[in-house]
Amino acid sequence: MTLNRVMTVDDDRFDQLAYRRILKKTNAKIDLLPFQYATEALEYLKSPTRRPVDVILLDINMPRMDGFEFLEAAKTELENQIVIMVTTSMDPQDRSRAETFAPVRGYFSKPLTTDDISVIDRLVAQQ
Amino acid sequence: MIDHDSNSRAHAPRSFAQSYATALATYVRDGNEENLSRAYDCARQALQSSISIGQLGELHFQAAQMLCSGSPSPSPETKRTEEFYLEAISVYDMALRGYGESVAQLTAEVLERKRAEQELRDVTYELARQRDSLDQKVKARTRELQAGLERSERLNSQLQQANQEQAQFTYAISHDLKSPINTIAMLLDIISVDHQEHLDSECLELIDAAQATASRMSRMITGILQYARLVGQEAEFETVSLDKLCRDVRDDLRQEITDGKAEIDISPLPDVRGMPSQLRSLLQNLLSNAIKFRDPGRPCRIAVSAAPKPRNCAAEITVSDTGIGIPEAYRTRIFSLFQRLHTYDEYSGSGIGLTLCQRIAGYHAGDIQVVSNEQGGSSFIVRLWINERERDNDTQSGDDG
Repeated sequence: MTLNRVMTVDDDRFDQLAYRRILKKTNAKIDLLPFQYATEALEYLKSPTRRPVDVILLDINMPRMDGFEFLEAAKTELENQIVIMVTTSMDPQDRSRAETFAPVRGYFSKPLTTDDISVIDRLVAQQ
Repeated sequence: MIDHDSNSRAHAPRSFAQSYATALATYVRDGNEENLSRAYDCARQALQSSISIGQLGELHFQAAQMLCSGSPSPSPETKRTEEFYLEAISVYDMALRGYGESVAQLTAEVLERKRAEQELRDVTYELARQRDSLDQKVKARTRELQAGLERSERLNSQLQQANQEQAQFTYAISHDLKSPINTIAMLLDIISVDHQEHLDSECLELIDAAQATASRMSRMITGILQYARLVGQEAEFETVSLDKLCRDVRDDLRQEITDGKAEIDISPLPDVRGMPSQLRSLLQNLLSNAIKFRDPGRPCRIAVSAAPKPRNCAAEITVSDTGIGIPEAYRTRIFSLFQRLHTYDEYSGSGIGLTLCQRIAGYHAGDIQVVSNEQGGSSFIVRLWINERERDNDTQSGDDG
């Protein structure tokens, strides 16, 4: 398991709970950085005290700033950063739009399974 | 001899023959240039009298024969006779040449006229061709426009049908979703109430979260149902008392008003043409939003008022609050479907309410805007039945006072 530090950007408290549960299950010592607003995640990425994360799990539909706006706003901060979209959106347009952003390396439906986590883990290991 | 020919003056050739014979005789006898030029005069006279060159030759021969009958030939007389004749002939020669020239000129004129006529025909043909092609273009364009019109009419009706179907579909789906979610809520209720003693605190907390989620979903479905019903609704307008409607809505919201310690002040509102259920829904959404997004740090005061004499619409209603306000950057977004500014933990809601309000205002030829007020809260301004002219040109200054 190479995943050690994961940022989760999702407005839903219970979705955040689900991430925590499944990630802790695969690595009990995993370091989690949850944000319920993308604006706050962006602030963190821009702050000088930020520490690198292995992967960012990003929701699309969020208040104030949605996942796409976040990818747009954090273009420089996300260079060489792996981002995985995690969403309930069934709109194929959302998927193809996500693929136009270089950092986006995967697109998963909620809720994440342990299999999804292993795929993400391999992606990070290859980096 | 001159007297003699007065009898036969009517017969030009004959009188001419005599004057010719006399002139010839004079020249033959006396010679000299002046007498020779008489030949010229005679011939011109002959030409004018339509005496042909053959006739001229004949009467010259007769005159010459009379002169020379007693003379030996050839003689100086014979030479003068020939000279005289040639002089006379030269007139015919000139006349013939002149005729030839005029024939050439005539031919040229005819050609020129033919060319001009051809040119005229060409121009006429070209004009006709252009008119025809213009005609065809106009016809083609008319056909195109007709086809375009038919196409857009077809698309419009398809769109209307699709809209209708979409609304029906959404309505059916939402309706069917409502019963399972209600069942889930009921089952969770049973677990938490009937089996409380078997559950630890974490378990109860999770059930609580599940119940909250279930009720959120139930609210969301209700919102979608409302929205779908609105989209599919047949427009039927009547006179509506906004004043009474607003006071009814305030009564409906009694529980929320008490919970939020809110005060709602309603200034007299006008009557307006509209759909009562829609306008009720509009006011209900605006008022419950004003209570929901109250600022915990100060009293929740809400004021509903109407512009006394709206300049460009039939009614302008403002709902002002002392709430948390809406940052400038989000003031357009809040009217989009499912757009929210807060997490569900902070404020409940489906992201449908303001979209619904905007839609309702739109059905009443109006709009809705949000501005921040002096108290730092929000003011939602609803305009209904905006003047046609104002909608065409929003920047136009009203002068209909």
